[in-house]
Amino acid sequence: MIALDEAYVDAAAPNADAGKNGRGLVVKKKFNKFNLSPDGDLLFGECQGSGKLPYQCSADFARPDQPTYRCSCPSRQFPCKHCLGLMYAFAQKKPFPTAPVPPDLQAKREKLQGRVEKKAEEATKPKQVNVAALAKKVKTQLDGIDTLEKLTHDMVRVGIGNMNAKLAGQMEQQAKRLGDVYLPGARAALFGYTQLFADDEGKFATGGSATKSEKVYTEALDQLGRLHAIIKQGRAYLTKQLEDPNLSVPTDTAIAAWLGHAWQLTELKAAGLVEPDAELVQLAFNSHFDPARQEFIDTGIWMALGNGRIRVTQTLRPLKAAKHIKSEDSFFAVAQIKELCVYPGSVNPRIRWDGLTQRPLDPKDLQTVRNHGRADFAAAVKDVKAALKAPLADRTPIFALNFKTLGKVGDEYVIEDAKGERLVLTDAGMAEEPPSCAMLPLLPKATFAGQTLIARFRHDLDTRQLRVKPLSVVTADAVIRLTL
Amino acid sequence: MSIAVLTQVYTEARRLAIAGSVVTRGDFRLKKLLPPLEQAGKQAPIFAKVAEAATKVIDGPEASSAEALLELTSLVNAVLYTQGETGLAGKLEAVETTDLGGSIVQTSARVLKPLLEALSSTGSGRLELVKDAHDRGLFRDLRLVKPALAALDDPYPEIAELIAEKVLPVYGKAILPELRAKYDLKGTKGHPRRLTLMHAIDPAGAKELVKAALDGGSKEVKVAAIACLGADDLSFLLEQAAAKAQDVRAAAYRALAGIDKPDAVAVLAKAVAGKDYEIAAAAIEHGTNPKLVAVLATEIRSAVDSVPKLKDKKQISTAVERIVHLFCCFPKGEHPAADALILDVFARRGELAKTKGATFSGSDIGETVVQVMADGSKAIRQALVAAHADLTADELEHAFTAGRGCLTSAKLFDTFSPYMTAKVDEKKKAKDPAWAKREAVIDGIECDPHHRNRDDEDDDDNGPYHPKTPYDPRWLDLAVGIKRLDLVQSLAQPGHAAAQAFAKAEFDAALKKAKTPIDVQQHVTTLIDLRHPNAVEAFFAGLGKRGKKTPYYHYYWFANSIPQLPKEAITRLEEFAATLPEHESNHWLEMIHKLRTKSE
Repeated sequence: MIALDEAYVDAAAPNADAGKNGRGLVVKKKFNKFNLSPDGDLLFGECQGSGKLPYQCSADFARPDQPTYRCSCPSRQFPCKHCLGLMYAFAQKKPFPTAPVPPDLQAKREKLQGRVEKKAEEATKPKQVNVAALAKKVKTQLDGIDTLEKLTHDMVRVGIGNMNAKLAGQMEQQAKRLGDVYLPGARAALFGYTQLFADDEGKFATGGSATKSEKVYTEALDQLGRLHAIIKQGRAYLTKQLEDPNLSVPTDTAIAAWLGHAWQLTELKAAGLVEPDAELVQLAFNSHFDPARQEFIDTGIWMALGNGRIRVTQTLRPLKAAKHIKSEDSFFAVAQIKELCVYPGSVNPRIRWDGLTQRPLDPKDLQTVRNHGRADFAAAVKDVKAALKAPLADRTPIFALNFKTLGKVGDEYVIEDAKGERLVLTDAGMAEEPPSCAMLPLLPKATFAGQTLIARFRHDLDTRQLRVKPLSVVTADAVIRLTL
Repeated sequence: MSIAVLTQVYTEARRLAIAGSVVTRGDFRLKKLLPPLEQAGKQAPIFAKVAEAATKVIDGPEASSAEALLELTSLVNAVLYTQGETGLAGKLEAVETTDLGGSIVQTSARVLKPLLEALSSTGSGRLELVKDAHDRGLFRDLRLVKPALAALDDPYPEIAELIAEKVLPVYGKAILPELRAKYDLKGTKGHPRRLTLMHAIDPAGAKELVKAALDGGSKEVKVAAIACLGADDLSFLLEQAAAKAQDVRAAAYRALAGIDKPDAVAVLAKAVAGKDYEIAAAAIEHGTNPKLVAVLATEIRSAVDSVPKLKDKKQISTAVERIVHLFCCFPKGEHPAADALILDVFARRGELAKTKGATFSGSDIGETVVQVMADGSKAIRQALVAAHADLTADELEHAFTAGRGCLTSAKLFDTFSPYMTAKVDEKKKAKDPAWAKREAVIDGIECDPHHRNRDDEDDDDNGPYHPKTPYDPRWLDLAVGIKRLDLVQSLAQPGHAAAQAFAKAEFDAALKKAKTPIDVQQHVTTLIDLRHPNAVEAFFAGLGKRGKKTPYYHYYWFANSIPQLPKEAITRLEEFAATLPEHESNHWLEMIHKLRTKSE
């Protein structure tokens, strides 16, 4: 039996408008038919659209963690408003008489079932790789690395101080080639450097300001260091891959993602980068636009209740296709995932999954999150520093910190652990999320002692200080989110 | 570990990276750091590695200068990343918190994002979004505090005012630092709002800011600052009451109206007697000081006394206009001085009516006094009701309104129903005084803003609904007796058999002649208001007059009647909605939703 409520449908909607339109269809009685399959797993119906014939829509819960939505409408949104309307109607307890599944739909279900079985079967077989084609691709990537090296060295020779918007724009034009040689990640890293010389909208205006450049020198030098590391490690990685008779991808390093390798779930599963039966709690969520990548990035920060590790989900929505890709939303329940795929990486690796079911978040879960928090700041800082020294490390790792007191020293907010170790809170240098420190005085008094802070560390290269940005506070009753 | 030398190396490497690696060869500053690095390298191998990398930068060929420099900076950076300083010395003090009251709301990103956009962008439709968010309590989500603070400068003043008056005060003292940081005493638009808000949240703390604003603030900020002043600043306020700018004077008068001191009263008295009478009277109207009411009454009395003595029509007109304006500025409540004046002028209205002016004449004073009496104190209303027999038809309507406020239902009926039953000449209409008086009472009932049978969403001017004593049921009998459907609708009481029968008969007759739904709209709404058992049938019968080309406005109001229908009608209504075009069905469905969710 399908168990869904309106909140579930809201979350399934690709955006707020789709959800609203889906509801509207139910209210306007645009559905001619609502039906439930005899096995109780399939909702199907007919919805009148602008055309002569109604759209045939369905929501198939044969795989509850991964429902399949089908509709004969031409919408590129997925699920479309018709499928959403169908689910809203079901959630609103509209009558769904049992009816035989239409033959064409039944055929599709069987086809899907066949595909799932085939996929499961194929997963057990070794993957067939066209070695010659792959070798050609890797060689092309190595050529691309040479191009990246040339461009990077040119930029270093020119000097950061002589870099201006015009030069950066020209450099970006040349760097576009990297996308054609299967190195989109490397291209994005190069853009990360050139974008430092662009305006807030990512455009290069002629006559760059010297004052602005001065502000970005340190960051620019750090970014050049990253490019240097990508070149070195990327070349070594690709060479190693080329030397392997099967050209298999090494999974012990995050360099593949830096070069732009799009990991398939099957690859991750084959590499054993899977955790079974994981339960995740979302601790923070933010959505921002990255001008260097020209993408919207929806980032969810999750803790696995089982092992307490903090990982991130990232949905990348390219600007040009943003409205066709489902934007993620905050998640307030516990996500139950059969196979959690974890990307190669160090502190907060990226995670993905095929499908999820959910259950309500209860105080016990919050207590589990709090138990996983780091009570010893010195040890946590040691781990952060160890991670940061790697040139391609995530520069802003996230930790859960159990603080004894959150207070103020002068004008600075500070958290202190039981041993008296302190960490200073800041918003500086972490612009992906909106500032959060100013919200602290608005928190309830009980929040300032004995709670868990979800914090993002950042080492400021100019001041040489390691500080943290508060993302949320986990109390015994709630996760109080401070960012978006 | 000798971190100082590493930091120096980083500084030099950074300098070279800024200048360009082509100039690194032989760099003497970096070269100077080699000996201490080599020295340190004997104890920690990492320094030896750094020294080696630095040597490559200094001595290496120009072709590999870029790589050598990157190698050096990467190495040094990797070490420095492990040396980040944490902690902060000093006494750890508690954070001064502001209890927002209630629980903190955590809203989903999909709801928050459009709201954040509305607060930080321009364009239409934003006010509704912000209002809705405020009504739903979404601003209790801490993440909206900053955007709300920024919205004080919103180019659309209605949003900025809503934020300043309704949203931000909830956060209390916690937002003071931010308000103070952004506040510019030379600024306009959002800055006066910031000052007012800071003063409202923390009057003592904002004292200095108010003072500074008065000394050197922009005109707008100065006006806001003046409004923040009180009795302690009397001398300054007295000074500002003579300022050149009218806005400043108006602000000073407003502040002075709240101060019960002879000097303040004297300044306002002078202003009321002079050219500033409009802004001064407005300040008195918003205050509660009885002395100022007496000042206003004295000024009006003296002006009224002078009117009959004037000869020039223009002067008469100007004087009457001023009196009429001042009469409307008495504050609400019981004010003996005002009442005495009103009664006196009411008694003299006949005499005053003889004075003719160019635009305004003495009769306007009489009309104004009667209008003021209809909404005056209980004694004043009673006086107007008591004089009903001597009033003109126009005045009688105001007397009826006064009676609604001060008489029991039965007494109201006994006093005014004779005008309804009086013999009238229907042909002469307004020329027959009895007809005119009957119509005046009917108008009084139909225009009674406190006796509306339905929520009229498009008519906000009538203000909020204040239920009053219901009308005596005999009124409805009378309405049926004189066969006035409009009056029956206004007085409709569910289940009144005679009214139901009359309304149904009227509907049946109208339906026969009707060409479009609008022709029976009033009949249908009357039947609905009377809860006639056939109201739903009548509703659909009326809609049945809709032709293919009937414009929507001919049955728009049918949709507005839906929430008053019985819930059993929902199915039929939905069936009908499905036959309507998209934009019409949206309105229809909204009303069906209201009916569905209406409490029994």
